Amino acid sequence: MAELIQSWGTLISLMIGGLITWGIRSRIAAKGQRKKDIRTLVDGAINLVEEIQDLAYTYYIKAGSDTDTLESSQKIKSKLKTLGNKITHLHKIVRVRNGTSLLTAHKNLRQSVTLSDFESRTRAARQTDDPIFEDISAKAGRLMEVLEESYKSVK
Amino acid sequence: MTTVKTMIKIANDFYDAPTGRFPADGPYNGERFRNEYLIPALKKDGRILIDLDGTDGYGSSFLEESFGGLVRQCGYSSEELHERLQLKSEEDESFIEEIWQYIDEAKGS
Repeated sequence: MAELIQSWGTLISLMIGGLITWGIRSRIAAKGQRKKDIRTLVDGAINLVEEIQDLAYTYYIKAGSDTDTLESSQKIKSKLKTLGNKITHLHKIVRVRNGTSLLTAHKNLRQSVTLSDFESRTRAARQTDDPIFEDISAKAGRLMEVLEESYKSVK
Repeated sequence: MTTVKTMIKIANDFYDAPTGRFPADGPYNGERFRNEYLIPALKKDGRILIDLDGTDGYGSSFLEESFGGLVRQCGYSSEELHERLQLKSEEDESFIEEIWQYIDEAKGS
């Protein structure tokens, strides 16, 4: 009888051990998948930031009266909107402590690209050394940094 | 807190592709939205819910002229606007932060 009880005890211990191991492995796998998903979101957002920078350059070196500018401004707003969707999603699932928030960094980029005389038909073409390009580049760079910081903060 | 009495969904009530600051920039500009939608709503009692979702996106120039212009051009105080306006954007929450920035920065100018 004692042997039977001992065998049952061993069996139950093995089952509990197996369950714990399975639980730990599942948790590690889920964490890995989460990090992978966030990396995909961050990479997608960084690509969009680069595209917006290129579009903004093409947009501002032409005058507001140029026939292409309406289409260019719509493209810029559309890309900014897609970027905003990704960033709003990331903001909800990743919190960066003691840093610029993703929303603020995104807002700052949008302002650098679309504030002042954006969509004005009377806007003059900018020279390639116009300060607006430096500002857009700085805001885009900062947003990419914050995106990387948000990825690094994922445990 | 006052209850919401007016709701403006920009994409449905105004246009789904708002553009620019002034009439010269296009028919669905920030100045027109401010004068024809925001101000009439503010003249009524109660809070106003502004739903920003569903458009093709906003340029900051449109947002600044619409909302910053309420303080700069029309004499509303930022305190009153904080009391009366409720902003909603599930698609891009940064629009809310941006609009409040324009309202607050236009204060006293």
